Amino acid sequence: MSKEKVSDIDQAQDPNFVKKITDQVLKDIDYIKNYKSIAPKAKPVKDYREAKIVKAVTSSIYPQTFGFIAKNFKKEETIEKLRWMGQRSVAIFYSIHPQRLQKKGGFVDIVREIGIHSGERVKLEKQITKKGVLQSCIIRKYKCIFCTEGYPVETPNLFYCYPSASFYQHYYNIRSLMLGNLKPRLIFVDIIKTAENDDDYCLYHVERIE
Amino acid sequence: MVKFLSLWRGLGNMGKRVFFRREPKVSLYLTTSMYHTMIDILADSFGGNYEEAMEVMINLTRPLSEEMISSILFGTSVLGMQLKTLLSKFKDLKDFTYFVDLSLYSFFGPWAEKIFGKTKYIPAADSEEQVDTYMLRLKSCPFCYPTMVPPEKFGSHRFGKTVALTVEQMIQLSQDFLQHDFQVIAREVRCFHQGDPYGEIRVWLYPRDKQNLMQLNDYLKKIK
Repeated sequence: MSKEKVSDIDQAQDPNFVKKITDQVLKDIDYIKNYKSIAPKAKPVKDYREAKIVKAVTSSIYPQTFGFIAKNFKKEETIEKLRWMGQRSVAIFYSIHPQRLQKKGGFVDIVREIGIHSGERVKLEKQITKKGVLQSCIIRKYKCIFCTEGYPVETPNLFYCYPSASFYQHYYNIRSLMLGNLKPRLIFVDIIKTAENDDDYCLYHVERIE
Repeated sequence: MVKFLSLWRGLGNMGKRVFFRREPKVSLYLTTSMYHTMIDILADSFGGNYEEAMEVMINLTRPLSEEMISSILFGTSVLGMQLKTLLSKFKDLKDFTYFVDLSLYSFFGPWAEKIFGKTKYIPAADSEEQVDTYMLRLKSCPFCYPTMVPPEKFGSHRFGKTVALTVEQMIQLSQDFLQHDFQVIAREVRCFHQGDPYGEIRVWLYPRDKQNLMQLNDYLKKIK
């Protein structure tokens, strides 16, 4: 778990950056709309929306998957795959929990909502707004679902919680395009630092891109 | 003796609630979404081969999962009582079903009762596989519900393999602690994802000196 930022997808360099994000969001909205479980009987009448599981039990899969990807792919590819992991989780999450898609609320409510699901403690800082619309802010995140109380794998020069950052981004963006009236319309979330121990925190930079 | 066991059960019931309440938790929806994603990303790395992805994931996860369960079983203390102390009171294989159910409750909280039925013990004499067996019935399954990947893509693996693996490791570590010389093997023999009306995890306790009996187990031939 390294804290040094050395490589990232440089959005400013890519003229299709916003289009790529929009396309991914629209593709996943399509997935959510067409979702049909292959095992419908697996869901009880009262669904799992309130159900929780002890985090320690869940913490054995990600570190090894992270290590496997980091070992087998180049850094840029690894970051792309890890970000995709977060996006894919959002698509599946909304598919099985579609009630969330209709829930009203702005950026702050949505970020808090993610914190409730992930068990993370989230604070918003340095919010910059223009005509009442959020332009950028910092998410300070304690108890990161990946970085704390888990079994992190030592991989130099790579942030550990890319899936979480892209989860925040995609969770907001899908809701925004589904509801159609959220401002900002699309955001990009990048990592500034990740937690080094259980009392430490992760910092994400949120930027309005549309 | 029965009276004492009831007392331990009472303490255990209280302890499992306290444990679940105090531990950090994650939503089950989020967990299952991430579980799917891990399988998807590994399958993507193997050209869409889900069977290979499951194989790799299980091999990668196994040691860490064992470490995690071991730290819960032997490092947890609730209401001043160590979990391993409680475990030592359920040494008898028949009574041990209580400890399996307690562990599931500790992981899933009240939802354990919506997902799992009560664990059944089948003595070796009554078991088709001729060894002591535990049977866990799944009334619902948060893990396979979200999938859109057809079961045949997983080959001889079952989607909830990690759940079966967690149960297997939990029982293996417990039996080792109780100094019972068993090789514990668990398989998900019925699965909603496969079209079964319920899920079922079977756990076989093979005495180390009778491991040849595994050859008679048809489930082990079909399911990885």
